[in-house]
Amino acid sequence: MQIHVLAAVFAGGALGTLLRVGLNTLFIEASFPYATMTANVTGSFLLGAVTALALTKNIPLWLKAGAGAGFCGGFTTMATLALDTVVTSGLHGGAVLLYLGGSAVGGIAAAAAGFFLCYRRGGKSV
Amino acid sequence: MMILLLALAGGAGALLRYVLGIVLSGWTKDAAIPAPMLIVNTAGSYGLGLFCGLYLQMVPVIQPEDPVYLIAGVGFFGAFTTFSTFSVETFQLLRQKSWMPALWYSTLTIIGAVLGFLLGYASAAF
Repeated sequence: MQIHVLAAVFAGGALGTLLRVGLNTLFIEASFPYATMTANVTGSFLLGAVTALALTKNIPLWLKAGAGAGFCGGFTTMATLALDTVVTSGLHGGAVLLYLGGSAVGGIAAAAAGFFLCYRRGGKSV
Repeated sequence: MMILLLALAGGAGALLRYVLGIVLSGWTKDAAIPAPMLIVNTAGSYGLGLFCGLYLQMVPVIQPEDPVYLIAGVGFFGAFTTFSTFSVETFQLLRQKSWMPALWYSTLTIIGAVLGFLLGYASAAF
């Protein structure tokens, strides 16, 4: 573990967190957790892209870790998804299913889209 | 000031997740599912539940803009846990046609996060 890799993860995590908080303030009056879902799906798309780029291009570890584990990891969250699930289930059962299903299916599909988009561009056949 | 504290909390959460991920991946090499982030996400959701339970003993309600909740809950536990890695790891399992591990991993992650949160919340009463 090199110090500049750890510093990149810290900086990426800080930036991702600030963006996620900023997104939260846009949806502060919403009764459905749109903000977390948006962050989780778009962050999954970005990490899929980062994963493909790391496989096809010579990306230094600090950049890969800073963008992936740092930024995408800090921008997306599982703890808030758990909290949202518990809070939303108290309001509306159907909304919980939509939230969990939408986050999981949307996140995995977004990760696949980001991955294949950059994997192809990296010159690899899928 | 608030932005600085949020950045520090998010950076620290991401850094701790990254280091724990490396340590845990050494311990769980032979697992059929990607165990490190499953463990981190469950632990982080437990932590957020515990925090919310304990904090609610001090304040009547937690407002979304409450600074203590923002820094500890949204900042630290939000960044310590991650959703993008979950999406990409599930996608990788699906891409390798590891259907059952993908199903187990995604199901255990969601259940672990929600139950972890509830358990943390309940254990604040003791």
